[in-house]
Amino acid sequence: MEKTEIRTFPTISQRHVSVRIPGLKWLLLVIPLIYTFLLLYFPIVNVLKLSFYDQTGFTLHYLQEILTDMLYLKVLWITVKTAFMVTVVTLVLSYPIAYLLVIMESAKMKKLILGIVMVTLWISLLVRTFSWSVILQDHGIINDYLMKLNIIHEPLKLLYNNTGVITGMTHILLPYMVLSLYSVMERIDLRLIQAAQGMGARPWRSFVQIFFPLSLPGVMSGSLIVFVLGLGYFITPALLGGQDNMMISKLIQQNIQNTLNWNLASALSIVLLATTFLLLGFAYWISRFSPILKGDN
Amino acid sequence: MFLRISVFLIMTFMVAPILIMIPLSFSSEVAFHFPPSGYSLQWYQNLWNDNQWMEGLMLSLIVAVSTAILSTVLGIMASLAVRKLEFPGKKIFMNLMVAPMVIPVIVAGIAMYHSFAQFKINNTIVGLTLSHSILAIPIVFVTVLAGLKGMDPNLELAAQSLGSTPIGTFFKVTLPLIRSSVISAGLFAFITSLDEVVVTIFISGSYTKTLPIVMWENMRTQVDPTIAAVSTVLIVVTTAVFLFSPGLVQTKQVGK
Repeated sequence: MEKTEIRTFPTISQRHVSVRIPGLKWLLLVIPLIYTFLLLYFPIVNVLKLSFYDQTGFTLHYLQEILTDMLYLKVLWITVKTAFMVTVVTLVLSYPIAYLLVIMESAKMKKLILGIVMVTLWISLLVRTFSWSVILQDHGIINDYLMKLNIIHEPLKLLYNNTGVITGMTHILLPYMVLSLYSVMERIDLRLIQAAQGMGARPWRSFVQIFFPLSLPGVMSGSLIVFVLGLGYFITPALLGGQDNMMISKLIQQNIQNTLNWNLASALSIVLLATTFLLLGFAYWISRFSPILKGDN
Repeated sequence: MFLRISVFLIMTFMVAPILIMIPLSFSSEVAFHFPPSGYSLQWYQNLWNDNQWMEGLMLSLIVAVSTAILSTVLGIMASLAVRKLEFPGKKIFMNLMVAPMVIPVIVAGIAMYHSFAQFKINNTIVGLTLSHSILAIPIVFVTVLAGLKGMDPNLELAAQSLGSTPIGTFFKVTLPLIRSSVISAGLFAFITSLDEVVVTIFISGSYTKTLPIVMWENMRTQVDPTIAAVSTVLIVVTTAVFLFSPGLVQTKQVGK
């Protein structure tokens, strides 16, 4: 008798509650959903429509213009090239950090390095970009020192060109790469490497043949996120780059605020958005079908 | 050893450009030299006395606090929905909630600018808060969801079986248990808004220039050393938020 009483008690109270406020809990789902649709997804659809419709009705004119005019193709090419170069540089710089984090024994140092990575991730993008513009100027810190030491006699051109853009963007995107790499490397069983070395493999060989392949899912996800974010960068290239470094975001902004060409800006946005989601979809597809890149070691 | 030295150099590359701002902001010169030949507080005085900077700072703080409150409430709702409710398409819902992290910010910016024009909320505090909240909700959602995952669901069941209503259970049991992730989420949302510039370039207008907009406009025209003082303030605020934030939750903020 007692047992059944205990078991039925919660059900009674639950029914009691659901009678009092039926369906209220679904608001948890509905309110955020409506909010994001109203403020983001519907507006995006509305703006993207403009690339197919203008005063004259349906047209593919704007998309065609982007994909045939050399001027626009050049901007697209620079965007892809810049994002790619930034991805490569961040990968090369982040891998040692993530690797050291994994093999390091001192928990205190680990916490310090991760803390620095997290704080730099959150420090204002404008502040970091501004700081680079001060450092890289003709009479900035780097040029000043190099000239004082008589290594160079003319200031190096570090700003308003590729060097400036890539340095700034690398600095800003580096934490994403470190965290992506670290989250995968953390799960690698280091005993595998010990085993390989125990059986006579040299440290370098055990790294290349065991650790590195196991870290590939992190390389993949980190590179992808940095590349995708890099494609959409706006502030840093605009402030550290020159006329030859115009990326797609800047072109979109100019078309909205200077020439008021919403249709063209919309068509450019479609290209940017489609590239972003194709790449993300591709990564998802690979992670599903390739066991090596699957990410659950 | 080689590894440690290279990591040290790379970490220097990460930290130096941030730390260098601090001595520069106390410089007595108009041009930036490092180390500065003399020190003064003139740029901080400038910041304090110049209306454009102070108004920008006040507006940014108002918008950032409203954004933090709004997006924390909505983000908690969305994460509770994922955790408590069973519904088809849960994965799609989660993707829709985090997508603003990967949607190019410029696209989100022009889309909101376009739609907000119909409701005449461009160039208002409301418009700025709404647009910033869209960028902050994913961060809150991910952070709180991680917090909920680490919670023992039996505690809620226990409360409910003792007669607590779902709402009572949330405020008396769930919320205290996930308190630290909620606080972190709110702080992240606050910083996101404080630093937002891409969307704000469109939504803000002559009456609503947030601090980042004032910085952006100054950087493009002339280099006013006051920016170094503003930067130092922002660096200190962000670092302080981090030191006081309970538990460094690994949330990735995406998209600038």
